[in-house]
Amino acid sequence: MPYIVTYEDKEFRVSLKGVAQNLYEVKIEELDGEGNTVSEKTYTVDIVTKDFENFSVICNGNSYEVDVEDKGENNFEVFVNGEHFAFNLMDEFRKKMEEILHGGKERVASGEVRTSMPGKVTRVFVKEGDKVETDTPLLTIEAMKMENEFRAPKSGIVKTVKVKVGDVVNAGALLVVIE
Amino acid sequence: MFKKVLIANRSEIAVRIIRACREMGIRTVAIYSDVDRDSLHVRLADEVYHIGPPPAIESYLRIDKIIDVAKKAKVDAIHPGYGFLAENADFARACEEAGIVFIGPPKEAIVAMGSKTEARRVAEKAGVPVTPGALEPLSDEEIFAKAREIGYPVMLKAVAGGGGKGMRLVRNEEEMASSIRMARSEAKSAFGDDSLYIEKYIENPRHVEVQILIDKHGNGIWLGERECSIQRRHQKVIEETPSVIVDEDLRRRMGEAALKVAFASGYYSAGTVEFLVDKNRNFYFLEVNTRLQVEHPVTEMVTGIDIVKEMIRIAANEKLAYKQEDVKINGASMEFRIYAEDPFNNFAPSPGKITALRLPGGPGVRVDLGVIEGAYVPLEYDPIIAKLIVWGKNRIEVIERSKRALSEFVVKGIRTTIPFHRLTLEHPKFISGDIDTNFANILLEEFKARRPSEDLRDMAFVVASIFEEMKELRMVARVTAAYKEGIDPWKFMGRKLQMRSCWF
Repeated sequence: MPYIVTYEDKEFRVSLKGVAQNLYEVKIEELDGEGNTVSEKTYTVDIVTKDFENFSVICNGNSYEVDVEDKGENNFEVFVNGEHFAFNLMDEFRKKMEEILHGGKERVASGEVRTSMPGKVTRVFVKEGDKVETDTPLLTIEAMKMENEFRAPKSGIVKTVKVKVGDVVNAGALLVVIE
Repeated sequence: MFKKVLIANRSEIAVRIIRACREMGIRTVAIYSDVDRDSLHVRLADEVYHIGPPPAIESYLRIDKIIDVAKKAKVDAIHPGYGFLAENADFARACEEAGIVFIGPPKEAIVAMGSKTEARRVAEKAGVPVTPGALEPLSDEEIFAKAREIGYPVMLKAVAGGGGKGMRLVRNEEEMASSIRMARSEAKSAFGDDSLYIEKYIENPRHVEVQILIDKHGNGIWLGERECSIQRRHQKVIEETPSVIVDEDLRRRMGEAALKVAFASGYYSAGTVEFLVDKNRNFYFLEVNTRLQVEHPVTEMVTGIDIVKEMIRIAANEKLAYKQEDVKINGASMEFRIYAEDPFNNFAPSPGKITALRLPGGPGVRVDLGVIEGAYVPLEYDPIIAKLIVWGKNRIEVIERSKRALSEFVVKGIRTTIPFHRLTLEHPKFISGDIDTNFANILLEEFKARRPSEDLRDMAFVVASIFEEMKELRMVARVTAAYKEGIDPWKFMGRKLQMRSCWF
């Protein structure tokens, strides 16, 4: 089953064929919006791993050190010789099912304010029902001695404030919803 | 000489001080908070005492508790490291009252130099040039008025500050209200004092500082400069010596100016005098850091002088073993701060468990480390986990060697600034030495716009696909193993798949 990679609004189909122990033939096709192949490349890769996180790859005589972080929900962050790539990867069957179920990737730009870093909520400037403009300071989170201010992404009414002063939040936590 | 020293700090700097003590035959006492049980300094010290819960204010900043431990352990002296209580005159006083030597400057000098406004006054009186601005702590209204007088852009700075905390660049009046609020809040939580002052912002200056050593007998030397222009959020990231803009003559003039300011305040111990240098190589006094600096190792690498040991000797009333003519700058050195931060996500803090750690080695490479593999990097403290310090016969060799060393440096489980450093070392402006304090921002913009080569991207896709396939195969292997144990996993899997198809 081939895999579909979604990377920076582009889709790629990756087909694997095991040819020997640790040896794969790989085809990478870049797809257009309809799923047609725009271009393709094939590689023969020699790949070994000890821990299923760190991989040593030899391809066309070049040595690559690759680290894979499985972020869950089919999101991956991968380092190749120190270069960073973030993308979504799932097998083609699942990808199709998801598209049928969720009708593609329509996602409305939301008034959800989330934190990309873990930390402690030090101040909250708004409460539910407050009217805010774009860039109105909402709250501050402190981590590793640095305080970061979160501002409103759009103007509207504060629908919910999910945190209070003193809360410790994880990366990705929802802080405030603006409608 | 002291028999036993307490280190009132944590992580890499505590380790650094323990090392100096060890080499001098001094017994070491470390302290730790709840979240630092796994920190490297706890393992390396001779004696260790628990000091309290994670927040610094309840542990590493608790003067009473630290003095209690010092008395209990019967230490002769306390080294405060940097940050925490390093520039706290009350702590120096508390040590004195307990009959323990504070390894640092006299408390009067900490007070005078710790207040940047007072430091500026001292510098002006000593005939050292300063940047335009207000000297006193100002009210919000006064800040607005003064900013209008000296003209935007301006810098807001915490009177009690340092290390970029409570510091804000304000480009225009619209940004002022929010900047004052943030700066005051940060200053309050970092130093317990929210007083601010204001300074004219010199566009794209270079940040050059001079290391000094002064004993209690009136002897002082300068150990050359450090260039600290690679900063983000006004915090240093890379430091080097010598600075490419400093020649023999400027070095001597800055060194002499640094000693002048220090002597005028009755200073002794190790210290650092910071200057801003503009395009025309005019230098302006910025502040005195009355502590051991994070970046002290680059000076050690080129002078061969162990600054921590000298600090301890000075505290023990010894005379300086070096005269100015003994100080020779040999080669060049750079320091790379390895922060637990994500350079791919606006340098967001990245606390967490270090799942793997592989350190660089080889000629000219030094690593000052504060963590061990498997330890958790807490979110309560400064994000620095290690410093990579590289020496070479000249700047070119340092750059090549640093690239090599950084490529060997592996930290897993958390994000670090290592990729940022590697990128910096590839940048033509950095290589030519054409850098200012805005360089990191420019670099980050380019960084975001840049696309790595396609073959690397394809390898990322290939390995992630194989990873995913292996995951499935490993599941099959587990299922097979379970079968051998007498469980019928296929039946189980079949049911699970049925459930999945219902869900679909």
